[in-house]
Amino acid sequence: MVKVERITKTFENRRKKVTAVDSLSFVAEPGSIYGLLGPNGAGKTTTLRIISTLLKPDSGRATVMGFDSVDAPTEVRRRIGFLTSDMKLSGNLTPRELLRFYGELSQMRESDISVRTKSLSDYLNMTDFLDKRIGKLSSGMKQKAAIAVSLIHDPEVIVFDEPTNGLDIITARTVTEFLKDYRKKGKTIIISTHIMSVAEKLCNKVGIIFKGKLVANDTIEGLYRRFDESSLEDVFFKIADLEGVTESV
Amino acid sequence: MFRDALIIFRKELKNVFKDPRTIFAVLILPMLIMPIIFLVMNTVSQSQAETYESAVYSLKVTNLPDERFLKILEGIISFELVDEINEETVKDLENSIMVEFPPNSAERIENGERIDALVFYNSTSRGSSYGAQMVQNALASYSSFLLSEKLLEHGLTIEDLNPVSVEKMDVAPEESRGTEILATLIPYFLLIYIFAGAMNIGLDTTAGEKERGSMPVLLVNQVSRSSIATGKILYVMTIAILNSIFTFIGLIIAFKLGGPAFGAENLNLSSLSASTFLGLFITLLTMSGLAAALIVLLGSIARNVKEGSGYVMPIYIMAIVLGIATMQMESPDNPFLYLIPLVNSIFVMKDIITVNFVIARFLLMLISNLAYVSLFIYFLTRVFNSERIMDSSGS
Repeated sequence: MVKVERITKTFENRRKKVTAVDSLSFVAEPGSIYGLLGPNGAGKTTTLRIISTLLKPDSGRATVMGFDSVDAPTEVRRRIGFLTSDMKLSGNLTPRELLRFYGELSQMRESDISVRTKSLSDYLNMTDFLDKRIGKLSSGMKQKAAIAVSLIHDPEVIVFDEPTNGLDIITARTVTEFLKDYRKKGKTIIISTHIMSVAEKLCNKVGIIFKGKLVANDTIEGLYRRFDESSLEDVFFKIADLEGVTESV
Repeated sequence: MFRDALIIFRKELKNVFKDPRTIFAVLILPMLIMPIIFLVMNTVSQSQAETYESAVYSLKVTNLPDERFLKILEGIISFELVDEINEETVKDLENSIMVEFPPNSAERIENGERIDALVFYNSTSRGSSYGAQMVQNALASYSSFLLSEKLLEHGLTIEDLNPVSVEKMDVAPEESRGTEILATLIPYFLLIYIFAGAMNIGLDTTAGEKERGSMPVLLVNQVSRSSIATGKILYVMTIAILNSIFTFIGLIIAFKLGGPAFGAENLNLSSLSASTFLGLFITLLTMSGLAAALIVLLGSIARNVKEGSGYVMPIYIMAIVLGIATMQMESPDNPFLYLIPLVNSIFVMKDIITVNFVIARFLLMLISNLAYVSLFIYFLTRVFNSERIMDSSGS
């Protein structure tokens, strides 16, 4: 389980101070996918980075399986798999060598790394390119390799920033199927997206963020009922209207 | 902690050495570049010398005092006497020289007067300059010949005019002789190639990782941030050392091939003993550690490789300037200079190469460099533990 309690994060530069996340709270349960929805710059990535220990909140707290992201970052990192569509795997190592590297860093035994590599490679259909250089792989193959890297230590919580962003239709399908499958396995999954159809297909519960504030937090059906709409996109724009932020969306 | 650093170090090294282009750039190219430069320069200078030696020069001589001058000159260069050259045209004609003796020069010499000979040549033409130098040599020989004749009339020889004969005795230890050029060039090239080797690799593994978005995945791993920092420094340091070692090997090959270029024929390569190599290697270790830690630190602060290059380039230029400024300097006695990074390593390398090893200077260099590296690792760990490490232009 992941609990986010009233986290606030402000970034400051010479010119101005920007509140990226403003007193945001939600809970993501095991065996479910929680989606953070919002336009670019709404604070989705910042929230995911706070949960993943990459950023520290100015106030509030995020806990992963009961461990605080600030007080016990190593325990949190042990339990999460972090993935971002921004990550561009490159270089001369093969997916097998990369999996071994991340497995070693996660203090896995040699034999466990081999078993896990085999099962991930079978699961993600990576067998044909497991021993080919990353630099020579297609973007779909690279994405599968990146997913495998983040799952090598079999994390309980998966945090995925914009999972289908920039992917072709086939690779996007692979990613969504993987997320559904891992939900079935009882994992806690949090994704961020600005694509409503992705959230509709995948998420059990969504949180809609505008300018760092969580303005809605409910199941998809719950949102439909509450706003009397039949699509998440219509719900989203209705909330945007209510919040007076339509022009910025 | 060190186990994790070694895992990162091994992975980075494996990644870089699976690329044939990197192997060529880090190992083969530094070893080849100096021999190729020396060989080309040597071949070019030899072929040019042969061209000038075998050229037929156009020579105009006015008021020639004595045919014997031309006889002497014939023994040095080939020439044909011409009339059409003057002070104005000597610069336009290839391999042309003009020698002007004063009027009645033969009589004046006969009367024991001193005469002035003017040699006109074009300093922008290598051929004309070479010919003029040969004419000057011939004039000096002619002058000595005339002097000998006069002295002989008085029953004297030229040696009688030099009652004191001077001979220099070099008391430097046998193994130190002929090491000056090595001490001038080797520290400079090692310093430059350490930075050149560390720069691209160091920026790629820090700012480059930020750009590729792979840094967060590494940071979200349970490995400590100081292990990541140490692993990356070890990796960059290894590449920098390999780069400079292969440059060193290339330099030695170049000196062997170089022959007369850069005075390399006077080199004492036998001074490079096992203890010299060990001393140089330890100095290289600390110097490359320093360069690697500094470059990894700056690369980690930068948001992308371009910004990182902007931070590192002034340091690289400073290293080049330091290398050039200290090239002709002897190692000073002032102990404080051995606390200044890079400067200390250059002077200690000079000491080692010239077999003037001073243990106190070596220890000062070693301790201060290790202190600087520790300081950089401390700051680097702080950067890795801060949110700045996530600050990339892509996010």
